[in-house]
Amino acid sequence: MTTVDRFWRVFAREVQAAVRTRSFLALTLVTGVAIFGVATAGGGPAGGYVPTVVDVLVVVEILVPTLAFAVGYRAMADPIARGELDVMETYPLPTWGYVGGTYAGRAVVLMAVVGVPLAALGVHVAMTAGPETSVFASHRGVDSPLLYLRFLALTLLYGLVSLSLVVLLSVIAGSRSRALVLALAGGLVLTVGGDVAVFAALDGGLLTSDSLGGALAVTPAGAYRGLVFDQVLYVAVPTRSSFVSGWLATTALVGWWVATLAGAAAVAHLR
Amino acid sequence: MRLTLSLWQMVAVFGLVVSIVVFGAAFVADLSSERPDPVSFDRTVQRGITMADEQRALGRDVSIPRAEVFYSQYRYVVGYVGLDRTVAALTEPGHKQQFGYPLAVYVSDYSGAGATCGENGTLRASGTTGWTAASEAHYVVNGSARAPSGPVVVPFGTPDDAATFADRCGGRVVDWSTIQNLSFAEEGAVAVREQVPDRRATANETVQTARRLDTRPVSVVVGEDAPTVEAAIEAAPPNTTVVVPNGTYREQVTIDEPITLRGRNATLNGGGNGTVVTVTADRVGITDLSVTGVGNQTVGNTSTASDSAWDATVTAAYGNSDAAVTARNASRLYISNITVETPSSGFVLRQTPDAVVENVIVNGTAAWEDGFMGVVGMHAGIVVQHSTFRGGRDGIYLHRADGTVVRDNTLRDDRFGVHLMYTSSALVADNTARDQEYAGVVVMTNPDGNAIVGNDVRDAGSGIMMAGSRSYVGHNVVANTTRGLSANAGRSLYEHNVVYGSDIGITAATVLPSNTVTENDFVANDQHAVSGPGPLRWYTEDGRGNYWSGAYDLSADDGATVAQPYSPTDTVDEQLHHSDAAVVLREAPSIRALRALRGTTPGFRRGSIVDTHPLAAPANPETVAMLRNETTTEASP
Repeated sequence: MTTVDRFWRVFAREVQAAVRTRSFLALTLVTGVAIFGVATAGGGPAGGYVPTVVDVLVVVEILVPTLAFAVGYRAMADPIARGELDVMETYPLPTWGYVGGTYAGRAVVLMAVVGVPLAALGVHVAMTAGPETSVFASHRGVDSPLLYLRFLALTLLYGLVSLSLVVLLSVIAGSRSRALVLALAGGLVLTVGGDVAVFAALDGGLLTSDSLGGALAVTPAGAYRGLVFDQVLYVAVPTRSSFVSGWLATTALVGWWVATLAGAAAVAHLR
Repeated sequence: MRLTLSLWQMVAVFGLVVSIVVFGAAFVADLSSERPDPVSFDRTVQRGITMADEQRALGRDVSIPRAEVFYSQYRYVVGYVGLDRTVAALTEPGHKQQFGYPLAVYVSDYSGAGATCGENGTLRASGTTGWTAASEAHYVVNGSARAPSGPVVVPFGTPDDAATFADRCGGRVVDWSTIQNLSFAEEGAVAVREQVPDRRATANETVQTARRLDTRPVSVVVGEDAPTVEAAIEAAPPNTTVVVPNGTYREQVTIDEPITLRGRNATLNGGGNGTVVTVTADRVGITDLSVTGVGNQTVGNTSTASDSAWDATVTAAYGNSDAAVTARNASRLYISNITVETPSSGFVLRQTPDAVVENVIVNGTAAWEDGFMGVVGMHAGIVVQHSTFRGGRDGIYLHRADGTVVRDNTLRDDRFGVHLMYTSSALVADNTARDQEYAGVVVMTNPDGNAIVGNDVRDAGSGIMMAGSRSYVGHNVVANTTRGLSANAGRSLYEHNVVYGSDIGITAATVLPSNTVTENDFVANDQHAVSGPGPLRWYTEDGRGNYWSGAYDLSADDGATVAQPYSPTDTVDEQLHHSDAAVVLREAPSIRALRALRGTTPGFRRGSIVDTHPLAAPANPETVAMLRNETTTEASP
C-alpha cells in the first residue's frame, strides 16, 4: 500500500462517515434555508448576482466559520481521545497523511454544506433576475454569473482556511469537551478577533491609512472580505478600486491555510 | 475493491481539476470588454423633451440628435433627446452613485442621413440616422443648427461628413471628450422654485391691468337706453360700460367690441341651448352677473377639427363645449363676480392671453360624467383666482396654456380639481380641493417647469399627480386620499409637503430616478411610500431627508435627524408606525446584517426608496399638528 492509498483510506472513511450522518444533510438544508431566507428578504436575487452577494455577504462571513467548526471540531479530537494516533505509530502512514486525509474528508463535507446552498442560490438568481418590465429595452449592466462564481470560490477558500484552523485546534484539544471550548474560542477569534485587533491598532495609532489595507489583508476574515470587495463588489462602487492588496490577501489566506494545516500535523506528530 | 477505489480517486481528481479550472477562469475573465449593441430608441427610458416640443418637432419635421446610454448599474437603456441633455445628465452630481458608470454611449449618426440646416437653422435629416459610438463620433458645435429648444450639437460617424456640415451650417468639429467638458448645465427645479415669486408678481400685474376694465364710464343702461342686452352692447361706444340692472334677461349675446358688461343683481338666461356670452374682441370685461340656461353640449365634435395643428382634435373636443362665457382670440379679458349654473362648462377661453377670471362661482353637474369644465384655458396663459368650482368634470382644465396662474380657488366634488395638459411654466398655488373623484391637482403629458405650491387637497382619489420634468411641488397639504403624491415628474423638487392619513403617501413612478424629495412630512398614512419599476431612490438631500411617522431612533436623542436610515418600502420599516414589535425585528442581527451593505448597489435594486437621514420631527410642525388635531376632533363625538 502506498502512502497515497493510505491517505485515501482515511479520506474515504471520513467522507463515508459523513454521508451516513444524517445531521450533515440537515445542516446543509438549514444553511440553505438561512441563505435563501436572507437573500429573499433582501430582494437581491431579483436584481442580479452582485445585489445577491451584497445581501448575503455579512451572513455568509459569519456562517462559514460557524459551519467549519460544526463540521471539524471533533475531526482530530475524537481519534486522539480513542488513541487512534497511537495506533498509527505502528502503521507506515505518516501522521501528516492521517491529519491530511481527515482534513480532506471533512473539507469535502464543508464544501457540500456551504457550496450546495450557495450554488443553488446562484441558479435561483439566474432564473429570477431580470427587468421588472419589458416595455423598455434592458441589459445586464456589469452584473455577471462570473462575479457570483468568484464569490463562491472565495467563500469556499475561506471555508477551507476556517476548517484548517479548527482541525489545528481539534488536535490541540485532544478531547471532545476541550475541542468544543477551543472551537468556540477559535470561531470568535476568526469572526470578530481579527477585525477588532485591526480596529484597536488603528485606534491606538499603530496603523495608518497606508498600512490599514495590509493589516486587514493579513487577517483571514479581512482578507476574505477584502477579496470579495476587490473581485466582486468593485463593479458596484466604481469610484473605489483598491480595497486590499489582492496578492497580499490571497497570499495571507493561502498562508493561513498551509500554516494551520502544517501546525495541525506537527502537533499531532508530537502527541 | 482496488478498482472501485481507483475510480473514486479519478472522480475526486477530476472534480478538483474542474473546480480549479472553472473558478480560475472566473477570475481570469475580463468582464469589462463587453459592450451592448444599440437598441431602438422607442424602447429606451426617455428623458429630455416635453411632449408638446416633441409634437411640434414632429409637425415641423425637425430632427433632434439623440443618445442612448447603457449604465453599469441600471437595467434599462436610457434615451436622451438632445446631446446637451445627455452631457448634462452624465455630469450631474450623484449620477454615478445612482446608475454606475456608462458602459456604452451611442449617439445619432448623421453621416449619410442628409443633414441640413433649413430655415432659421432648423436641423433636418432627409434620411434616417443610425447609431455610432459616442467616443468615436465627430461633433459639430456652435453652428447655426437648431431644434425647438435651442442650438443643437450634431454628431457624425465620419470626420469628413462633420467637416462638410460645419462648412455649410457653421460651427467647429470636436470629439467626445471635448463635448463632455462643455458646460450644458441645465436649470434645475430649484430655479422653478425661485421663479414662484416672479410668477405671482406677474399675475398681480395682469390682474391689476384687467381690473381697470371695471372702471370704464357707464354709457348704456339696459332697459333705459336700450331694450335688450344685445342692443345695449351694440349701442355702447368702445371703452365704456354697459350696465344690466336687476332682473332676468333671456338672451344670448356676443361682445365684439372692447366694452365692459356689468350687472346689478342681473341674471342672463341663455335659454338652455348653446353658449350665453361669446367674446371676440380684446379687452372685454364681464362682471357681477348670474348666468343660467347654458346648453348641455360638452365634448365637441372632433370631425370638425379644421386646422392642421397637431392638437387640432384636442382643441375641437375640449374647446367647443357650451359655456356661460366663451372667448376666442381675445386678449386681456376680465371676468369677475360671475355666478354660473351649468350642465356643461363655465368659461371656455381659447387663445385669450392674459385673461383674468376671478371671484366667480361655477356650479356644475352633480355627477362629473354629465358635465364639463369650470374653466377651459387653451393656447394662452391666463389667471384664475379667488373662485369656487363645484361639480362637473374638472374645475380648471388647461391645454397648452403655458404660464397660467391658478391660485386661491376652491374646487369641490368633481373629477380633477386642476388639470394641466401640455402646459408648462404654470403656477398652481394655494387652492383648496375637496372630494375629487380622481385627483386634486393633476399634471399630464410631460410639461416642464411647473410650480405646484401651497395647495390643500383632502378627501380625494389622488392628491397631487405630477408628470413632466423640472417641476416644483412645495408646501402642499394632502390628506385622506387614496394616493397622496404621485411623483411622476422627473428632475423635480418635492419639498415641505405634508401627506397625511392617505392609503399611500407618495408614489415614486418615474422609471428613471432623478427627483429630490426632502423636508416632507408623511404622517399616519397606511403606507408612506410605494415605488414603481426602476432602481433604488434616495430621498435625502444635503444630509436631510423627510419625516416619516414611525421612523425611530434607538439613541432617542434630540438630533435633527434619526441615526438609522428609513426605507418606507421596506417590509420591516413600513410596519414601524403600525406596530412597535417591528422595532424588535428591525434590531435582529440578521436583519441588520442584511441592510449593512444594501446601499452599495442602488442601480440594481428593484423599486425601493431609502431615506438615509430621516427627520426626527416634522418639517412642517404646525400643519401636522393641525391635521392631527382635526382627526382627533372628528374621531371623538
